[in-house]
Amino acid sequence: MADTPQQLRKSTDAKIASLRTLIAKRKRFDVMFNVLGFGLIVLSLSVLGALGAKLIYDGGGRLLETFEITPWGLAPGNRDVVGDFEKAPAQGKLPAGYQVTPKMMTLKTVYGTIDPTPLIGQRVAVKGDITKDGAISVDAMRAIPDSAPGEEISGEPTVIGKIKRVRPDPKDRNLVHADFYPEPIRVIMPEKNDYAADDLVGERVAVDPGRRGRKAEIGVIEAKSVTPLKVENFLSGMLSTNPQESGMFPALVGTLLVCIVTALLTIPMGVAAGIYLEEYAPKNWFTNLIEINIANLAGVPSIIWGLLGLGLFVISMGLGESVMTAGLTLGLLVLPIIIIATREAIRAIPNTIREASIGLGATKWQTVRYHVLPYSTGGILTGAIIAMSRAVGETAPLVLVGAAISINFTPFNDPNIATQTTLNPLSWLNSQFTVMPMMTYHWVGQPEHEFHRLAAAGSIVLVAFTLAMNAVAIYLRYRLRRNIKW
Amino acid sequence: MTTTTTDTAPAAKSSKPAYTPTPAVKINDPLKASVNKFNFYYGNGFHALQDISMPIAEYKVTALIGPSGCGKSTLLRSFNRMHDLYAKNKYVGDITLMPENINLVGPELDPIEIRMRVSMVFQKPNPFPKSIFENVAFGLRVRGESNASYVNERVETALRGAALWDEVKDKLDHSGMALSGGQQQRLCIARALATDPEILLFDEPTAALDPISTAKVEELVIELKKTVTIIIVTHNMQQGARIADYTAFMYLGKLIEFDETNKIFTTPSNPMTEQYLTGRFG
Repeated sequence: MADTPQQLRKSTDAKIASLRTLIAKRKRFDVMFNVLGFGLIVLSLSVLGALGAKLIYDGGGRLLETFEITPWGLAPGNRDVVGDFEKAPAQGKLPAGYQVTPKMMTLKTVYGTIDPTPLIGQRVAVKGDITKDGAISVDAMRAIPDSAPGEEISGEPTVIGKIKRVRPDPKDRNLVHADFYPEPIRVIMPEKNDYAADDLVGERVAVDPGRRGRKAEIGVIEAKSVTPLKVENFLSGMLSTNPQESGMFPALVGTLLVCIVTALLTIPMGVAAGIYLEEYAPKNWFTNLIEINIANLAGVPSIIWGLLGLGLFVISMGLGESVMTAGLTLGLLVLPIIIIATREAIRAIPNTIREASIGLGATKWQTVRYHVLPYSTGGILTGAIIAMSRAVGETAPLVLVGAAISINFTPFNDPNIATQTTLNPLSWLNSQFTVMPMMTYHWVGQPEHEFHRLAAAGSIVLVAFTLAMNAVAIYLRYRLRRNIKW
Repeated sequence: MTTTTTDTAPAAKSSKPAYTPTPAVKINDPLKASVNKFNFYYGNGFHALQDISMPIAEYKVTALIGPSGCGKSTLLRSFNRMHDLYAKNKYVGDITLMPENINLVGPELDPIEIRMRVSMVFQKPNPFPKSIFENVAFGLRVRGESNASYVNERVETALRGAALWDEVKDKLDHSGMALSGGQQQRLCIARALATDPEILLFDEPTAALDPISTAKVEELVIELKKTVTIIIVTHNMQQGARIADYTAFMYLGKLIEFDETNKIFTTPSNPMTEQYLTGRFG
């Protein structure tokens, strides 16, 4: 049956149409994957963003806050004036001496008794109890002229300054708060003080006004003692039961030390094992078995390594709950990762390079030493650093091998081994320790909200730590691979 | 695994001619090496070279030609024991190195010793990702040479020998990988020359190069044969005709014909050689 041109045309059209349907049908998956993929990227970025935002919202402030460690013996509410200690020139009838400039304070008055509002912008003298958080519970307050002559008053420290702003207490309608910017107060040093005045210049100090009822002038304190206050922030602070004063310095040092021990123990061993397996070992069923098992070991849950560490290092080998134990346990955990990374990096070197080296009469070791290792250093270091950042974040195995949760010393000044420290530079290996994820875990479990802020701040430090390590890994890889093209 | 081979062809495929090897001819030039009844088996049992016998003349260029898979590279790589790098490869028979008459492929001989006397240039330029200077000096370094002025001198001589000195003398500290493909290949030749080898093996050295770089490498090979014996594997028959003094035609692991290049290319005595050279198979 012969087709007419029309019939032919028709059948071609139909064929093209069916082809197009077919193509559209097949392309559905491409479209679907495009949409799905993009959607997932947006989703994961927003989850990441939300996580980061939550951490920074919860803990960012705590990270930057500083707090003052009140020296032992200064009980709260004893009306110390806290401020920066400076030298003061001679002024009026006062000879040259010292002064203290308090930081911004909050005046607290009961509404109606003393109203600070009309005094805004004026120079005022305030008498009252200075509470622990630096606020003044006002007893009396009055405006004084700028050139106020010395006036004798009795009792508590009287501070001169300016009121900038008045606001009601957010919780108690009967209270009024005022922002108060004090002027320097002259300090008459006590005859006997634990700290020499000149040593205190530039420090933040607490000035104890001493006995009540002593005669003094407005703007002058006759001090009973002047004591420096140590200012700490989250990173340099010690652990404390008071969340306001707690920092993570011991955990930071502990993490660094454990990380160093782990790196020193595992990187040489892992790289050597990788080189042996890749360059020296014969390829047979036995080495295949080893290879598979190394891959399996890299996937063993970390708590299992903790159990092994507890049984082997803490108990059998008697290393105790120490930095050394933690380093060894985490070393076991990351060793397979380093071996695998080393093998991958070595495998990426083309055989032509090995043949070129061997062909010039090099021995196997010379080939490894001059070619294989240098060219794979980037990959090996990347793997090692990523393994280390994994170790830094591990909590479970360290819970088992006995990381402490409340110690206020670093392994360098462990009081339990302090006597050995001077004799043995490696005594910190035997010290108790704590690490950052451990502290975060501990803080999260506390009931007070302030501890949760600490946990968030700790998480930020931990994330920053691992990100920094990974950044170093990326940079090293870039640097070391610049001249290598394959 | 058997080492006995027959001279009769395996069941020949329709398009491929049956082959009958022509016995290797005696040559008058002094010998640097001679291949005697040499067989090679890969680790998987593949019998890649079967009863190869041929002479290698000193200070001459010997070309190995033949279609892909004929075993010419396998034979070449046997000369510096490259096959030892991979497990289970097996040599049978011998390749005798003159003048000591030692068997290159004998198991009692340390392959490193052989590789220090027989250098190789590979098909794809494979400079190390190090400086040009260190690339050339590597052969000396592995020999434990630490005399700086001697190393400098050898590197310069080798680079001059490889006709590369004028192009790179001002940038010896640059990476060898930054050079062009042709320069890289000459760098690899310089690297092989720096250690004063007795035999230089070329495995299709111009396969990855453009015509101009190819011409340079060919000139270099002709120049080099004054001081070193050269064996070259080539896919390019014109190249073989241009630079080789002797040519061996191989097919399916066997040596079909070995003779002076002139004779092979003008009046081959084996019909298969003629068919290959005229492009009827391969």
